[in-house]
Amino acid sequence: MKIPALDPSIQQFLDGINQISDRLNRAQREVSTGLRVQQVSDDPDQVSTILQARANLDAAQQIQVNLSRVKAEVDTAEQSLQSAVQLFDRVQTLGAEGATGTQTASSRADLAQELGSILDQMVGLSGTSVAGRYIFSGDSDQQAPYTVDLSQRAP
Amino acid sequence: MGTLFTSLLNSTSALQVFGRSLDVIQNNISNANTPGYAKQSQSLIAAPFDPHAGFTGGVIAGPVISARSEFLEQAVRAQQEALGFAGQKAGDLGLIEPLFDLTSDSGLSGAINKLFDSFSQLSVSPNDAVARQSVIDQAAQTAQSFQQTALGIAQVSDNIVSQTRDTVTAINRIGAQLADFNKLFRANSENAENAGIDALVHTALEELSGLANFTLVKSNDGSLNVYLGGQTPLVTGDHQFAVSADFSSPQTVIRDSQGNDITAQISGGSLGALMEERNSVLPGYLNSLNTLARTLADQVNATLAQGVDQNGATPAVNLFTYDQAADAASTLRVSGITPDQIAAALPNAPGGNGNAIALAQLANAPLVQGFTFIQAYGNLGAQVGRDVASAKQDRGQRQDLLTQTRAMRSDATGVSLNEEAAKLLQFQQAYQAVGKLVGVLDGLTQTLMDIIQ
Repeated sequence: MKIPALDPSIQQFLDGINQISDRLNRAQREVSTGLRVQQVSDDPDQVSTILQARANLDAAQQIQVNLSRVKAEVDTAEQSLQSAVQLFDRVQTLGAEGATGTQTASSRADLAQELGSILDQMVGLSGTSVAGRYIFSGDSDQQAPYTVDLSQRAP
Repeated sequence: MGTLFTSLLNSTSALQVFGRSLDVIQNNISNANTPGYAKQSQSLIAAPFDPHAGFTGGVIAGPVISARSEFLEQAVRAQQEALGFAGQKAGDLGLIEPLFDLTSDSGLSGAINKLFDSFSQLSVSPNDAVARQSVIDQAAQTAQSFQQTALGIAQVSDNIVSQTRDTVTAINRIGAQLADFNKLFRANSENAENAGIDALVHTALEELSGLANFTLVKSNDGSLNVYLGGQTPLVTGDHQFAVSADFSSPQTVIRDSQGNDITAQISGGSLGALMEERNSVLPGYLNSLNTLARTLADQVNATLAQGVDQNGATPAVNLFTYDQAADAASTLRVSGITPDQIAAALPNAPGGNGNAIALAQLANAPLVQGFTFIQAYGNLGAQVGRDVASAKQDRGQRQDLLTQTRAMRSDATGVSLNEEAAKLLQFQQAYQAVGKLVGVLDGLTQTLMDIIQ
């Protein structure tokens, strides 16, 4: 450590100038960044609060991302269910048509064909996926819930 | 006749005395800016004057008196010691502060937040390979941030070690200087009165006071005995006892020339600050950081162990691993876990997100001595901030006090050019007056001689 050979009154003057310039620097830094606390020593009592607030903000942003993804799934699920409802309406209509006595064997075969294609569509809807996730599969979301296997017979 | 010559003799000796006074003034002015110099003055003594009894009066030059005040020197040294301590601490802790950056999302707090975000994301799509990989990536980032913070503290600690070495070298260098001065004092007692040596000694003592706390005892022969911490001799007479610093253990140990541990005696100056930092302040920070790292790793691992992985099996590999024997923060890393081994589901619902939710909820659980992870980290940052802020404030105050004390010393013992200028005029006039007197006496003597002729 070097002993200053300065006159004490000059030293006092310099100390005062240094203090003013420190305060000026700090004020400029606060104005230019818009932040009052930049280093932990600026206001130690607020550090915990700042970090906790930032963590909460981060978590909230992540929840927003999560919710937008869930919303996409729910929207898609709603559309799929609406389509399924329409398909069931059609199935009901076809069932009523087939039950009347005016049907011939060939027209019933047409109805059966249409029912088959509706079955395919229903199974297709059950396998709706959003971003690689089958939304109607519950926890087994990596596999489609149903597949069509026409070799099975009703018991 | 006899008195006339005596008066002439007296006048010439007065001229000599005033000449000496002028010499002292000249020397004061020359040394107005010399560090450690204390102003001197020529003392004047009136000779006994009683013409009937044969005492002829006149002025005699007394000793040259130094204005040195050991009390004020001691006051300056005390402030210098306090400033040395505060300045060292503020400087070194200032190096720790950037590790706890508040302005950006980088650093440990950002990494911990992102880790819990990745758990939260995993809870939405627990079987997504990308979400699983992201957990591993963020865990690696967190481990790296812990390591970097621990490394930053270790680097400051290394820096303190080398500064301690330099400081001890400087203390021994000053000790050797003082021993040399003591040799001079013992060789010739007049050296104790020598203003030049006196200035050098006091400059050395002031420098030493910035480095460590010591007690000064002056012997009768003018030599100085310096005791570090008031007990351990650094210099006695012309013997120097070199101290040394021992870094073989995590705690810095200062040893005297005999090898005895004198660490507890060093409490002031920059050496005192260096030892406090390495022996208690930095280990305290590291300890908090290690507790945080260990608790985070253990809690995440324990929660993962409660779940099942993508294949419905109990996980065989932990996410985090660290060296149990060493510091947790500096050895924390991610084990060789694969994305499908992350246990996002609970055993009763394989493929589900039950465990991922539990992991995400760790963020808000008071697990580190009653605080959440971020709060615990915030407490550590606040502690560092408080230490830095108080050290900086202390440094500013000590600087002011030192300047004030120096000003006091300068008022009392420094060379005042105004005062010297006034004295110069005073002695000039006196010199001229005596010169005139000599002229008159010379004329009288001449008259007398003429009469005798």
